[in-house]
Amino acid sequence: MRGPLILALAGVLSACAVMEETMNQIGAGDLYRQAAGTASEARTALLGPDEEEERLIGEQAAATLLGAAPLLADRDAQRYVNLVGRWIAAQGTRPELAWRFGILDTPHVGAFAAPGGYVFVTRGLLLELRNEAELAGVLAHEISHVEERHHLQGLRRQAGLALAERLQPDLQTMGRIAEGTRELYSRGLDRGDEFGADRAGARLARKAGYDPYGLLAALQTLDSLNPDDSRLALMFDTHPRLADRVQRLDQDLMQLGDGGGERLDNGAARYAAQLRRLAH
Amino acid sequence: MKQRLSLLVVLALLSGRCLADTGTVIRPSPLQAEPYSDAATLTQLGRGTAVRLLERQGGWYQVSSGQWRGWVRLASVKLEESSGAGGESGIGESLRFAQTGRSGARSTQATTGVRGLDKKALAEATPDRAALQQLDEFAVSEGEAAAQARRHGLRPES
Repeated sequence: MRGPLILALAGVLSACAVMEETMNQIGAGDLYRQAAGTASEARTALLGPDEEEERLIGEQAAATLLGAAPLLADRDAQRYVNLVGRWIAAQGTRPELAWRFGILDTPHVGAFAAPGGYVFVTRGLLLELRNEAELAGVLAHEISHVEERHHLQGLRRQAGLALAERLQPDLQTMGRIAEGTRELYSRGLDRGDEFGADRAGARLARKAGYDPYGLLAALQTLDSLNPDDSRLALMFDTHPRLADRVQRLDQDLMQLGDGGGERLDNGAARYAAQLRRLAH
Repeated sequence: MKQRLSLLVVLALLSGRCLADTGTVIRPSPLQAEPYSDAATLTQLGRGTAVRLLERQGGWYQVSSGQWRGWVRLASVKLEESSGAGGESGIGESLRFAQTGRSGARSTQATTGVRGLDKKALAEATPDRAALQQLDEFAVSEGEAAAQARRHGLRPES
């Protein structure tokens, strides 16, 4: 009776050892151990196999995006965006994820989400925005992509995983996820997913106490930029036309009622105070 | 005192962000007395009407055009291209404005030595695990985020 149990345990342990070794090879071992120490990740560790798989895929996708553009070396600015983003994510459908927000140090204009709770905005985008309500709208759009697992589905397909097939985090699979990330983020999501994230994002920002029109105002500002500006090329190639997004979102937000009377603080002063350094 | 005054000027510039913006009406739209869809209509703005943006409240811009002043839906207006004279957007531009006293045209070229995030950069990207670890250092807890939101008077909708 005891023999098979021990054998089974040994099997599990050696499988863990193999996994551990693989993780070390891809450099994730340290991260994993470090992460296990914090309270929010303790929750993640309790999540099911689907969430664990999402975390692994998300880490590799986020690391690949960080390989394309570095993090901005400004701790205060990074913390500020994390505080705003985490508050919004806490009002959403997946508050338990280990949410991570980052500013990418590039003049190009864009925002990106990766599975498991990763959200990136570029320095170039932050400089175009006017206030915290607009930032909140952009972050909420990206948070919605994570909540709806838009990139996760694409990346699983790219990694060659069938619907019910479980991810094996070996070198080859992780390589395929990195390749899938390069592909998917160059091509963009289905346009319907983008419109959906606009709609859900504006409503999520509103749920967190922000003006739901912040996202629309941000889109409208971007729509006013010179379309030949090379800093916008990737966004244009991967998203529906800004003018179309503005019209659709306006139609949708009209259903929420007027909401024009109340004067919500849009956080312009604190946005500028936190991020004005980025202009230099 | 002098410092205080200049701070006030900068704050005014930053918070009154729409004051220097102009736009064009892109579809025939009623100009309304208040930012509500059932407010009284002052006049009809035709397509192509140039407007000056005074303020935004939710889904509405307060605009002026000729002798008229009233409210139109955000989506009825296309903002002026911000690299042109007079137009501006974002804290980057407003800060340049505050510093130089004029709204300068923005460069469309990435500064030399700064990495752009375009298709080429994406195609060549390899996973940077060290940066991912660095990202963890910036993370905040839900409690910290909630505390800041409370300080800023943000109320979650129940």
